[in-house]
Amino acid sequence: MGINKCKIYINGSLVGFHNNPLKLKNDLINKRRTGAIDDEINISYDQPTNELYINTDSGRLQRPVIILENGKSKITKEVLEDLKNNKLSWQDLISKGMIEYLDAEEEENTLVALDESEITPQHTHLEISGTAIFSVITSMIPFAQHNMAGKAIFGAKIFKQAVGLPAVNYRNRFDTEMHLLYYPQKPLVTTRTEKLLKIDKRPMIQNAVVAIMPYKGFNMTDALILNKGAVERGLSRSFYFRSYSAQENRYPSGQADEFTIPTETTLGFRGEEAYANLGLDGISNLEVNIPKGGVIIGLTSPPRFVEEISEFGVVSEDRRESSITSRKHLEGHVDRVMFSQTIGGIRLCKVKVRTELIPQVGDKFSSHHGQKGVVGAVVDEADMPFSENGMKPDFILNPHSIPSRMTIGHMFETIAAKAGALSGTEIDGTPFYSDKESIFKMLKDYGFREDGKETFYDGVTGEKIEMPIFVGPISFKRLYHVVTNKIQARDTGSVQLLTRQPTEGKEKGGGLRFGEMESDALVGHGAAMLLHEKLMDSADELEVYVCSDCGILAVDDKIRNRKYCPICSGGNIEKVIISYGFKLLLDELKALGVYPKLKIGDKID
Amino acid sequence: MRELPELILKRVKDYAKSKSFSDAKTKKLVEVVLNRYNEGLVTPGDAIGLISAQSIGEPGTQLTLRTKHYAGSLEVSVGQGIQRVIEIVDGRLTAKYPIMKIYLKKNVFTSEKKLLKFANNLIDVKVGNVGHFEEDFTTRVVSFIPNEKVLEELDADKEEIMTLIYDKIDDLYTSKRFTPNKNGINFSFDESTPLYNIRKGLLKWEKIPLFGIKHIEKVVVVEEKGEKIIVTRGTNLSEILKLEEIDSLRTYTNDIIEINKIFGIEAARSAIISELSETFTSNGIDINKRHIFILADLMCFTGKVKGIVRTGITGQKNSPFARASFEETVKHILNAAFDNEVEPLTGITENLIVGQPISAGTGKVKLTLDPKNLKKMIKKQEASN
Repeated sequence: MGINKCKIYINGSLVGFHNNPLKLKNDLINKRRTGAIDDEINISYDQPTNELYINTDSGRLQRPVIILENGKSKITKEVLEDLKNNKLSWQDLISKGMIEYLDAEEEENTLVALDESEITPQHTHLEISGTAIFSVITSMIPFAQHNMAGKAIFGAKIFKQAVGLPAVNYRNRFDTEMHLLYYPQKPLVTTRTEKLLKIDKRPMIQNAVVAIMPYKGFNMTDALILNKGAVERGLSRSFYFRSYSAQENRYPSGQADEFTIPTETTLGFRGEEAYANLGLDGISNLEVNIPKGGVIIGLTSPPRFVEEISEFGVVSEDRRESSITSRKHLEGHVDRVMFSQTIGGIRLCKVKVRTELIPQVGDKFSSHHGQKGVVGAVVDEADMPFSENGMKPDFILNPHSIPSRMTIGHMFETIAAKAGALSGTEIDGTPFYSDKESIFKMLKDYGFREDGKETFYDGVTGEKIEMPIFVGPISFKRLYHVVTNKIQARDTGSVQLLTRQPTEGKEKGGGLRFGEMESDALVGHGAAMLLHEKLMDSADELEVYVCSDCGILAVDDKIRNRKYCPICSGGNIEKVIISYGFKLLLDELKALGVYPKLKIGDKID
Repeated sequence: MRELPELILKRVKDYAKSKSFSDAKTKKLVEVVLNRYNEGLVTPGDAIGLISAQSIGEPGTQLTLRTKHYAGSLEVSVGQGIQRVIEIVDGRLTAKYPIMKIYLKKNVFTSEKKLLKFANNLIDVKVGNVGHFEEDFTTRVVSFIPNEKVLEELDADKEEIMTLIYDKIDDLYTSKRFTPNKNGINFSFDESTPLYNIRKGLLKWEKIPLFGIKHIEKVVVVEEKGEKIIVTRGTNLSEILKLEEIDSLRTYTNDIIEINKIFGIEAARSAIISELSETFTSNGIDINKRHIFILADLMCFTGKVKGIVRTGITGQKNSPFARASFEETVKHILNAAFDNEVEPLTGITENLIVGQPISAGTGKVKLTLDPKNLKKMIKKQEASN
């Protein structure tokens, strides 16, 4: 039964069979368009397997398209007029069956025309806009249709990392981390999506002049050259806010933490100077400089163990110091202080510290087109190459980053922005809807080469550079990956309690792990002594005394200046150098019930 | 400086003779070859095993994880990529895609049809492959219905096969009554046989081999370098080698364990080498063969094929620390303690654990400089000069 009938699935489970699936599908779709069933239900028919899928579940990506009837768009001029006069809403368009949402499966049954001019009788739908095939963020990339598909995705990813104006109420916010760009600008080349989202009201870009040429090897492999003059004029300068918070926790003993300036009697007192910035309430004063690791909120806690009440009934006040300090690598100024209460009625304090981040070597920048890079050198303005009319670029990008990535949109944006800057107009770079010929013509009319290239002169020697250089303004954004927040180095420092090996991680002042694969590499090179240094001298080398009779670690009693074996108390004690990790292994073996007997030999036979 | 091995020296001299070089020229040639030979030698103390492991392991990351399947097509699936490498290196007893290449003696088969028939006869055919059983529990009759299509594909005579099945089952169950008819064979059971036993016997019958060679599942005749060869899925080298029509010198299986069983460990070693390098080269990866030689030597030096696993070579390391640092740490340490094992601290891992310089590379040299003696030596040298 049913072998030649169409299988009907609802949300992936078989519910029945049908003789005429196409009629069923059309009936269902018509019901959806007339509003009889929900507009988020999608129906799709698979011819080869003769199966009909009805999907009503969550998690399907849908997109709106215009419905075509007899080869004509259901959105007529009258409808558009009504829309303009606010007589119709978006929901009306859906309920009246002019626009419908398709999911990935139903899309397989449709033929969507990109433009009204290319409609044929086979077409079932019309794209609202060619740009609509991109996501919100991707459609903000000007000339995205000229880019490699992967680069559009890349560019969209980078969009989210841009430093800009994150919120209009940024002054009142106490986010743990927040970046704020000094002088955000309106882009010279915009897209319709950007206008719809009013992104120029809270932009995240600056229109930087970017030249594409090598510069003494300092911009190899995606490095950027930054003009020091531009930096001094405030290019890409930004704030970094970090909020610290503390609260006056109460403890079962009836005591509580207290915002205060710790006194000399407090356990762990940091010295008078450390608290110089604090006001009488224990909180830093506004606009006060906080050094690296400096105290921001003065806080004391009650002692860990409640002490016996003395004869006179006075509890001795051995309070502990538990102040909130700035991060080890971060300094700044106190920007704002906030007091509040938690739900439990505990006093809460938040302090926002502001740091100025001046672009420097190691900071990350990107254009809209996934052309990201790290500053390789900040060059004096005098040494920057200059064009015929004396213009010096803000950034220099390496030419090698263009051909293999095929980001032609980057080039078009530069040319369009150049024309826009010259004419003082905003250029529309909406993907699929931009007029490139007029842009070229504009450039030519202003006396520039239409390919965007200009004659350049070496900034150091003043010689003319033989090849014309592609240069022009382009929207450039600073990304929140900033060196000052990431740089880390260590010589000697803290070690782990258990293994006595160096700690890991930036906050703990740790080192970089010399792992198994790294040590294998050294073994492969036969660099035995270097390996020994990395694994012993730079890590957990340990001098121990071993009883050469029992082969067990001897006790080194430094007070009585005596070394003895815990088993035989004998005297054949030898000094041996091992790693602390090995000593730990010996201890663990003993815990297993295994007697690890060491046999001692001379270092040199 | 090392001297040239005899074999190389002989070859150089033979070459010189063939080109009729003068004595002086030959001497010079030997000198050049000697220099090149010494340049090519590994420095004493080099951790060649580790370098081999890195040289095989790093390109191994580029190998494909997927396997190609040729469902239904006239081809035999071959294990590929990292799976095949792991299979070989682990020394697994059963390969996932065992294949054989059967080369044929020249002029044995006059026509392609005969060759195909020969090839099809190799396939391991069981009763269940040529038809199916239908049970009728009310009359206690089980009938075998042959599949005409399969019989046609096998190019086998129906009557012949039916009698064959009849004979085979007859041999096993003489007490039952059988009635062959034109559609198949009916087996009827008496009341005393429990139905359960009927079903049980039936499942057994399906697996009775009819003809062909065990384990051979599929055969394909392909042309290789202008010669027709038979490629099979499933291998059975010992049976195939008994056949007269085949070229036993060239017939090949990719089952290393089977090669070891039939031809011995040296053959298994070269099979490991050829299979590994074939897998890498077919993925476009170029690895120096010497690295693979070392791996194959390590797997075979005990006289049995042993994988680089804890049950194989790695589990038999001399050092308890090295074994414990690989897998099943506690088990190895406790077993070492029970056996009163001594850690000789000769390998690399062990010395890294203890914190001593490793005994490879610069750590291999155990020399100290005595400045007094050095002065004497220099003087001696100067005097001799």
